[in-house]
Amino acid sequence: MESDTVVKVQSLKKWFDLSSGIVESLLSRKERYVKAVDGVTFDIKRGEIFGLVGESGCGKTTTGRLIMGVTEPTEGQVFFDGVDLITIKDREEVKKLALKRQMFFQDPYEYLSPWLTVKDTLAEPLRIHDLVSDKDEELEKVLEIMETVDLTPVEMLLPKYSYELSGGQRQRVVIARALLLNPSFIVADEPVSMLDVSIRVGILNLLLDMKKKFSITILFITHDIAVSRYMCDRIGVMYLGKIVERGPTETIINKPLHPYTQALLSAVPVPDPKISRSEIPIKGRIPTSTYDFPGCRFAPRCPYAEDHCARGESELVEVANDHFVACPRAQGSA
Amino acid sequence: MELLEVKDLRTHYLTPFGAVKAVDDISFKLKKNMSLGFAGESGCGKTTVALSIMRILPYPGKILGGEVLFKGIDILKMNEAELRQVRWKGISTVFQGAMASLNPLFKVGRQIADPIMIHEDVKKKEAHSRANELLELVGIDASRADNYPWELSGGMRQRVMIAMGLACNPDVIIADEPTTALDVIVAHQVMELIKDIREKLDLSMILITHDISVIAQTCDELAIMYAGKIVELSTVSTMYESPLHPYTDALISSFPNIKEKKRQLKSIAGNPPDLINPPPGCNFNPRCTYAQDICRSEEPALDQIGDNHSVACHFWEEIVAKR
Repeated sequence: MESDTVVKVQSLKKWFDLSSGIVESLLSRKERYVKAVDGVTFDIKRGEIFGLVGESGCGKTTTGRLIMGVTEPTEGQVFFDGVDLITIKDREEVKKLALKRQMFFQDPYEYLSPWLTVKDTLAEPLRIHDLVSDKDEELEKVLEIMETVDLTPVEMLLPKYSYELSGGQRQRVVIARALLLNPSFIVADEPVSMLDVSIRVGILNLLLDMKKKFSITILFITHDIAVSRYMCDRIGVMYLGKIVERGPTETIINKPLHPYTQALLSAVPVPDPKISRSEIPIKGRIPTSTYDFPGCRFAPRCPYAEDHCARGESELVEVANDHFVACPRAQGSA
Repeated sequence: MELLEVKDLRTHYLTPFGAVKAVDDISFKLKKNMSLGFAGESGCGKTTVALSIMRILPYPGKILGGEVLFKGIDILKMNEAELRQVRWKGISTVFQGAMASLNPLFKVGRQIADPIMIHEDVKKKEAHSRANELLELVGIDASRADNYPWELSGGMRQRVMIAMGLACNPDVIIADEPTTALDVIVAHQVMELIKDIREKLDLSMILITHDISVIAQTCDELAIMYAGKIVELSTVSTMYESPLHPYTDALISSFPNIKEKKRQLKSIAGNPPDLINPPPGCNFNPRCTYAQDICRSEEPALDQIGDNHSVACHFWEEIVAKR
């Protein structure tokens, strides 16, 4: 029986060691780390799109990579369909689970080989994983997936190389390649931030269609909270390696509780001259993630910070149905 | 007399494969103390407009025709010495990607002071104290003048670029995607800064961006560019209330708006045309849902249809009637 939760992430941490070599590590007592992901907990339900939203350097991409298993965590657990991905040893099982998870990235150009045509790019994963028995079946599958992601006219695009395609077409090839292996879970890391607006919506709508059609679960990583609202059922807002607020997207957009979420929302430019944006109360900028925080990471910039904020770290607490926030003040006011 | 008037500007890139018609017969006016936004997708020619005005086109770009009148004098006919009087003092630019525009080998204070020394007859000491004032104006502590660009954050670098743009008290500032590489909160702060400074210094501005929501929040007028042409030109509020060109309409409705109810976003089918061989007739016709035969043969002119509102579409009246 399949459970409701596809991905479960628990107290996940990834610290990148900054000590530059053996000499420094012998001489200096203090170890320096970039705490890219520093204790993140969330789960993704079957068939939903969960969004991780935050500014650059907040750890959203690293979290995606940790779930994909392409980066080893420092601490914590990742469960996929109930299996602990960190402790699993059986190689066959690892391979099976790897096939079920696919990822695609911001810049499709970087992930497409300039030496392969669209046909070969799409056929390659089928060959590697022995999913087809002969050339005819291979072509049939490639054509089918191209139709699905609207890479048309198919005959014209099949022999093209990635540099001959437009940005939107390239991203569609990347999506098609991921879908070919019938994944049940996809990590989409900023899939539209390189694309022009008129093309962007096409890709977003394609992903929404795919989610419905194949009931795929998606982790959607973006810096753009307006896009996350369009795409996601639930979101987690990240700041310096931590989720500061998590819950259903509409709840968070309409009633943001964490001061950082509020700032992020009021900074979004609105395509309507009649609406003037409210002042953002926060000051300063994101400190480097090597900085050691005894208390709440947002306290140095927070307009409501009090003495106790600099001491104990605030943990996520459920303030309403499925709405979690890591701020004592917000928890009190909810 | 307008502060800046561009008439029938035509700038092509003469590549071995043919002429890329990046800017094709563009006309617009910038009034004093006003801000005009240029919006469009990448490759629509909006940056080329800025480069043509400043006459800093890279090879193989060439201005083939038109006039750029700054206070009534044609910039395109100026010699280098006259041009130097316009650049920085008359019109200055703030480009995107501050790291690429700042020299990593020089302290930022000096980089701001340099143009002041070159363009105005002042001593080094005075130029540097002006540079410090400018840094304070853009919200950077004057002590940071001794920092190198790579010692500053992305937002601070962009502020330094703005300070440089203001160094010689220009009448017009051209900002090309000034916030594109920045995170939302920093981008918001930089845009607010530009707004404040414009009010303080009576500055006119041309803002170039792919993000029309940024223009909606900062500009008085808006020009929508598509494939080397202005397809619609109007005040920002008119444009949002009643966009007339099908492309403008599509562009506005493809932006998610966080303040209104969630709605289905529509994409624009197809891709922008190849500017070496643009389609006959209206450049937008292959992607336009209203296109008819006349659109495929005859190019629509940018017609003035009301106070401060021009549109280049054969069917704008019918589109309005349908609403």
